Amino acid sequence: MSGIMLGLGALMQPLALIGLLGGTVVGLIVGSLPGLNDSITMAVLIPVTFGMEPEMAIGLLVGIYCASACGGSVPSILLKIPGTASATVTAYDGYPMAQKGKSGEALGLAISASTFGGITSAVVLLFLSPFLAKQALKFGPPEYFMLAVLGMSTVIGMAGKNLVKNILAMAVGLVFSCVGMSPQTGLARFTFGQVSLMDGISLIPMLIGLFGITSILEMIEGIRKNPKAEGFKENVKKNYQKVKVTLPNKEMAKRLLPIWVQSSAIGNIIGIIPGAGMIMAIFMAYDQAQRRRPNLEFGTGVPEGIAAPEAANNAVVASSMVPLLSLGVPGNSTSSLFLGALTIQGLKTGPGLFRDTPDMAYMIILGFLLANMIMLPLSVFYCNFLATAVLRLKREILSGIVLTLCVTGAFAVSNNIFNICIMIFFGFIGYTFNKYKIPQSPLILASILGSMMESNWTQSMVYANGSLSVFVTRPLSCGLLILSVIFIAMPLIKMMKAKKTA
Amino acid sequence: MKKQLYIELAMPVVFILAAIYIIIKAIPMESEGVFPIMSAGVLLLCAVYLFMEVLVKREAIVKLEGVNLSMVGVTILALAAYVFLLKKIGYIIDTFLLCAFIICSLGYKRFGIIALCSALAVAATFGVFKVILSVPLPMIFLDF
Amino acid sequence: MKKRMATLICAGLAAAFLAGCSGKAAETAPATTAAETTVAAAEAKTETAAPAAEAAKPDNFPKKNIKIIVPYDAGGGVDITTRLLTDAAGKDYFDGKSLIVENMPGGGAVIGHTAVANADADGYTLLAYTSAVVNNPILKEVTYDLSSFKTLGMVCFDPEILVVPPTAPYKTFEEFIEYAKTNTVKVATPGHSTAHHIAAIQFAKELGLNFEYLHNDSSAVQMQQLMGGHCDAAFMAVGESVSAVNDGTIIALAMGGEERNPNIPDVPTFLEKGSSLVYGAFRGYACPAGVPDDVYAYLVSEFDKIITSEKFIQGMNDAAIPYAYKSAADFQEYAENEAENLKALAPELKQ
Repeated sequence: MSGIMLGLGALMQPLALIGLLGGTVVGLIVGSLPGLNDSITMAVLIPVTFGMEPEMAIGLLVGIYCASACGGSVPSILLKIPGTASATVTAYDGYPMAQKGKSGEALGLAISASTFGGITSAVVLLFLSPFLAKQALKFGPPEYFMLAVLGMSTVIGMAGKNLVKNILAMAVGLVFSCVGMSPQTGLARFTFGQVSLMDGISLIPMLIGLFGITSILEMIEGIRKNPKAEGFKENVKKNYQKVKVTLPNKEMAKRLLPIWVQSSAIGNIIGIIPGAGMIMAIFMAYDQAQRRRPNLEFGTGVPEGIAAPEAANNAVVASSMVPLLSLGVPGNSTSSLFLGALTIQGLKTGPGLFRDTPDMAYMIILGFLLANMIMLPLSVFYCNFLATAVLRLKREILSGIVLTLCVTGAFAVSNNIFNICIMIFFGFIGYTFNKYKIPQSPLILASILGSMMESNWTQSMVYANGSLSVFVTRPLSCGLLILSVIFIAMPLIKMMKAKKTA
Repeated sequence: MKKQLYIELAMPVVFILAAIYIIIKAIPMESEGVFPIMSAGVLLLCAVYLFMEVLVKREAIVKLEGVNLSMVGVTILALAAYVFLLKKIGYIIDTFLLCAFIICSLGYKRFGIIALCSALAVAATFGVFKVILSVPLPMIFLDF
Repeated sequence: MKKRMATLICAGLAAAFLAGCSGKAAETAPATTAAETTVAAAEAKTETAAPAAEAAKPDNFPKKNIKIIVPYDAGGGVDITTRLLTDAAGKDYFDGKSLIVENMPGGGAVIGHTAVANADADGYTLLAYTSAVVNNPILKEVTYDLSSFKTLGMVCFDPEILVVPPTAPYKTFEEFIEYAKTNTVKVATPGHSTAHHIAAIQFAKELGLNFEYLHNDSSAVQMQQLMGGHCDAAFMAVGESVSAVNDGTIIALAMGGEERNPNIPDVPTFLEKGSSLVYGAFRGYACPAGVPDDVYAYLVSEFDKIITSEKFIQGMNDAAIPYAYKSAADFQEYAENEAENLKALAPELKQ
């Protein structure tokens, strides 16, 4: 308790509050621009924070991390282009809702869900951190393998009617995940001599290509019938006059509460496991929301479809700090930047942080709580302003701006022109997949989880000397295996039953 | 009708060929080739199934009426040209041209406004990425 | 001789003064006194090691800012070290020009190395030179080798440390060796062909032990696997292990420095235990091999001043990065030695 008081005292300094506020604003802006994300901003700011007072530096970074997970949903909803990787799934229901003219409502749903998810994970971080960190340690190679399998099971869950096309997309994703140096022997696979492919296919250029370039190509394909294009232009001017973000009312909040809680729980759990990642959290949350509300048509603009991934991705933010603060092991790439920032300030991580500098430790945790709270009004204001501006622009000019951002963002990930080529390639893939009505989400999920599956399978075999029983004898792994089987089997059984009755 | 059939079949065929290529390339990798071969195997099975499905169902999935495929091709070529020219004419000019090209090909023909908006867009991204974030965008002149 | 000492002291005091002014006010007083002792120490080091000659500034160099390519992601250890360097240099060296950091991650540093090896040898493109420069040409197919670069100086040496989970049945070095002689030890590494993997192989070969490797994607996951007891042992850098060792979440058996580390004084060195393993990750700076002699000499002397400056050393200490100095000539010799040692091990790694 005394630590929390100390932390509160440290947080209520003007420097810390300014840092937090500034960070939240920067995070919203950076998150909402496709091509920019929190990692690149924080990485650049870390050396700058070196010269700042620790309270301000940490406030800034905490604000950026929290707010960018919320800001990414803005272009996702308005343009179908995710501002950050974590907003990929928000577009599935967010964009259709915006198309129906309900962008303000969609943005309100995203913001409220993000705040809920962020606050729950900050509370979890505050009270359950040591306990959860211990649980995170129980994840060895067999558990990671089973976790990846569980993640893949969401493909089946989201498959809907066309199962084979989903499995096809998943297989393509698995093949893409093989590109690069193999994890166990360093053999270069399918790199075609390109050094830039040695680390595999970079995620952000891939996503920018699949969403950004694809949507531009889809806009281009409609150009020929000038009269038709004119009509659309008129349409654009009429409908999107002023966007007012509307937060969900009591009724909607009641309806969404179970989804919020469920998705936040998923985000929290995935967040504390080092290396699991936000993408897995958002897909699983979406899938679970679908299973919970099977009567709703996800993908057409269902509120749950926005609330689930947004709650999950913000829940990952603070919970990825759990292993970092309790053990000194970062939960994902963004929290490892935090590790760098704390080190530069001369702060330890792990139990030492709580022991030697409890005020800083609790300041960080309370900072996450506060950041999520101020994020709500700030993002409402920001979205009102940004959404109106974005939708007022003629879509041609908007496309030009978006393309400029995409191309530069793809380059900026690792200062490599090859990434732009990857982006173009995946733009082509996304376009053709859409034409043939092959879903993209299994592709994305599989290309991320494929390497996790492969390397952990090999490690499990080394660890257990080739014995397969390791997956069942370890309780956590066994539990995940059973869950995966249930998640894969249930939709298949339902489908077969539906076919019988039809 | 025939043309539509060929278009529909093109997708499974491409995947079948790709899967076979991957399997062939992966066999000499021995233990490291297991995972690619498994994935390519699944890909092959799905592609064959879809191939059969197209032949049996004769459903038109790909809708190509009103689709200006040549413009799509031109756009992809423009993007490829962008990459090729990036180191040669520098980021600012190249991105300006790309932005203007896209706005123009989407149907907006007022060149004055195009030039202005493209210049603003490039200046803004340049400012954010190079000045604020110190990303080393390829420059021909004015390197700092 | 006297002129050199005088310039060094002036530079040191100037740097200390600047550091005192710009940094946190409360620490100025101790910093200045610390400055004098560290300047003396740096002086002593430069005297005993082969000192870099004070070189005259070439006519046309530098006309613009100098780039240092860091072949790793921003925010990582090498990146932070380099940014500390550029921060310490400020505009006080290189005739008022600045040092700029450019990140080119990928391929295990291969992309960055290749870029510098192929860059114009005009002295405007430098490299953050780490153990990867020694390892890559021997273990991977690359278009450059060690002789593509000329060293400018070493700033950091982070020794290897052998750590085991807290639940392991062996708590000391001797017990571990006993266990390892009759069992296969599963060693976690942060990736195939990383310096830690190589250190493990060297260690196993020297003592005739049987290791099997669990390669992870990052050092964060490696640490988590170790803490969770999902491996038998791991090799990592002292810098990243210090806080965990002191917290008791992992147990350190021995480390590969020449002497014990003051942050973990109870951990013996491999040398003390009879092994000859003195191994670790080093960080320094280098330029392409084709840089003309006068430019090279100027770069060496300027870098020498910067990396022995009080501001830089203080910055490294604040960030808990283990500072260790080697002059350009010593560093080149050291790197070449490491390359020889590695070539002997290469066949084992390639299997």
